Amino acid sequence: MLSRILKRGLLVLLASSFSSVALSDISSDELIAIPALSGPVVDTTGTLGAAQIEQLSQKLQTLHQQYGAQMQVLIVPTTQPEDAFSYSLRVVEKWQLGSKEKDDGLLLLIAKNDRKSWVQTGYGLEGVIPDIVARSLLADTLAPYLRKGDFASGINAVIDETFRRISGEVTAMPAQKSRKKSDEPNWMGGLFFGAIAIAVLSNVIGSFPASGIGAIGVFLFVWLVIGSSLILALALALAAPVLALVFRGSGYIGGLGGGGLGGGSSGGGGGWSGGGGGFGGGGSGGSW
Amino acid sequence: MLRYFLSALSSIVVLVSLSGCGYNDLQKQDEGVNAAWSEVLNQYQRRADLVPNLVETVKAYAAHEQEVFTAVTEARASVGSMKITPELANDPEALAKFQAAQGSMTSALSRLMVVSENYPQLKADRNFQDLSAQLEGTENRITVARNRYIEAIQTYNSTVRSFPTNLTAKFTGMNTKPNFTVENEKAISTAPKVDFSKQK
Repeated sequence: MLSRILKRGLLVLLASSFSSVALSDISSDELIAIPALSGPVVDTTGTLGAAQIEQLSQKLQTLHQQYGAQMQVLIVPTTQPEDAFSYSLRVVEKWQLGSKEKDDGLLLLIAKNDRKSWVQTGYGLEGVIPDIVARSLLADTLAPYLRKGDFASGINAVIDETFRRISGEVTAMPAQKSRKKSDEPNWMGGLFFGAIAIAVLSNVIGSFPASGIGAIGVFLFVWLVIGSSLILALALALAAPVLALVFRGSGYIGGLGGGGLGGGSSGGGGGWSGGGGGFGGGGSGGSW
Repeated sequence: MLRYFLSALSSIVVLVSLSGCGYNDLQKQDEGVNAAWSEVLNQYQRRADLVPNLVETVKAYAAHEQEVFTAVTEARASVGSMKITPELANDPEALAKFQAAQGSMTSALSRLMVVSENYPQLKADRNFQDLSAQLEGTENRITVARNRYIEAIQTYNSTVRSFPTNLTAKFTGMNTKPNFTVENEKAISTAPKVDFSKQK
């Protein structure tokens, strides 16, 4: 009787902890939407030809692999009602260019009809591309080409100049660690919860099925809900039955199966995506 | 029987401590607020550090704009005299004072930049160009840091206020924190920005 009540209680709690994660993603209307990150060069104006996009993308991919820094080009018709700074900040906050460890992302935004441009530098690149350099990239490198209407060459020149600086200082300067996201210790909770659940369930449905269900539960919870890495989730899924053994305090040699499913790739999408890099408003703007 | 009792007890303990009370959430968000606050201080400090150089550079070309220099210097002195402690962020009065001091610094600096528009030689000065780019970037970073702080406080405060985490908060002595006030509502969306590239 007691066990049945417990079982039901656990299920309810599990369900509620899952449902509470379903937060709605509030999208702000009226502002210009942020396009999908389909590749290193995103052009919603149709200014660049397919061949030019291909060529610039290729180049940025190669440089990204070579130096790690992730540079992104975005051309939009306008950023109104926002200014170029606010819009580009929203873009980098969404795309999270650059790696999480190095914050080495950089966005070149061109608002064609506004005749405005903006460079957003990630925390990790603020040393190599200080604001004065960003301003010069736009005013001295990019603007002359844009006045002639030659967008592709202008962007190409900015890429060259940017990576000339990045490659000249490959020995990464001490990145500002002002805004590091720590990996939350919530998985500990998942592990303990799962172990308890297994220990209790074992008394009801037998230790083998219980550890199977528990391991899967822990795995899904840690991986999907908390969003930890796949490896951590698997490790915890295997650890939960073992911990359950400790909780139960009895001889228990149950199987540690269960963790097997859901191996697949975690990335999803194409080969180009942000790596969680942080931005703090560094960079500069220009016009032509 | 003992086994049932033990597992029941331990589940209750774990459940209460993990899913129910939100203690971890509170701690995490409190830490988030602290991090956001130090970023705000960091950027304000960066701006204050720029001031002496900037004033010297402008003075070299526009020596008789004494009024503006006085305003900037005074603003910097009042910012500098504030005792910046972590507790400052928890004290509404001190925070308001801090905000006012930084606000007068913002307006004094923007006046300085407006004045410097009248001196073509100054604008051509390499050092001045460098400093003004730095100032512009710093103002933008301040905007970002302030907005993130405001968001962090909102998250934290709503956790402290809502049930059942408010019980935990009360129990562990965590109170709501004061937020930056926005003098005019629009300032949050259209941040005050120094953009010298607009000229001409």
